[in-house]
Amino acid sequence: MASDRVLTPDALEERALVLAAQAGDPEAFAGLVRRHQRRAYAVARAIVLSHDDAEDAVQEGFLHAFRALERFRPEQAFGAWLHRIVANAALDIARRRKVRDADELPESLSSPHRDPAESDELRRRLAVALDTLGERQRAVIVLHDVEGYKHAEIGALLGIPEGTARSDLHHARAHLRRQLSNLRSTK
Amino acid sequence: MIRPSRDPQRSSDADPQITALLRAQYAAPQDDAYWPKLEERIMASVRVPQRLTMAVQERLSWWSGFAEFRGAEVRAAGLVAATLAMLAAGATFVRNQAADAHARELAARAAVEATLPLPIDDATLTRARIHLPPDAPERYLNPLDY
Repeated sequence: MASDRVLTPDALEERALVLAAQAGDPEAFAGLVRRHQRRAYAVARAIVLSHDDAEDAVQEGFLHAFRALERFRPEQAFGAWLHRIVANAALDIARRRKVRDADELPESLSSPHRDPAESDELRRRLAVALDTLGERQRAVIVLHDVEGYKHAEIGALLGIPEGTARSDLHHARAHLRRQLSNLRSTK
Repeated sequence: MIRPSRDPQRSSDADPQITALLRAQYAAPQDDAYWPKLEERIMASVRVPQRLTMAVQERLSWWSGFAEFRGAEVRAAGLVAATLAMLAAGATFVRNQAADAHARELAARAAVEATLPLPIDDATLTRARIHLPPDAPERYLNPLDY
């Protein structure tokens, strides 16, 4: 039984925030935003691949979560529930973006949050390689290799079986290796 | 913020250079000043629909007093009142139907009586006699009239 679980102080604090937010306390919801926005951003960023779109996805995700808050059962893990919502918002934005400007390079190339020491050419090639990868495989490799999610967690986030996440990761890694091998061998 | 690796199969076929590139490219912003701004933006987007909802609730508040009619006793009284009202409406309808039928019958009777011919044709009584010549054929056809 979920209610029989021994909750950590952190989980208890989160549950209190959820209950207060469900009762209409905006400060409690702000507390939940503070706790989860970094992870939510990481999930969104893996899917949309542009800083601005990731921000939009996080904002939309939190807004959807706020609207659906009364349907959330406090014995569930709030983080998993929220990240699923954010992932759906990001997938939605990625689909809209794909239709709108399929050939445009991601804005993340000029994002101020990048490592300035990285080679521009390598980053450009990586962005191009990721762009040819396919939305789901791209999300899987970023969530796994950058954010440290397990296959099962990625499957739950993206709504795919664990085995699919595993094989997507394998194919994505092979694809990126192929795409970047030429450049690295000339360096 | 990069989580430590928890998956034993994580690095089996991962290319360290590509992984490092990916992390440099897609890691969340490291600047701590960034997050309060994002929080502010999220909360601003949450507050707008909240304000709209409150405005809608305020606008609808004129009927919020009807909420107290949800009680079981009030509901039963309402059902009884509705039943009585329906019975009264039914009785009035039947009475009106009967009155209408009676009025229609009277009107029909009056119309029929108004169109019936009188027993003696007054035109016959008041008509002036026509003077015909003595040898007119009408005299032989209707001798009593001439």
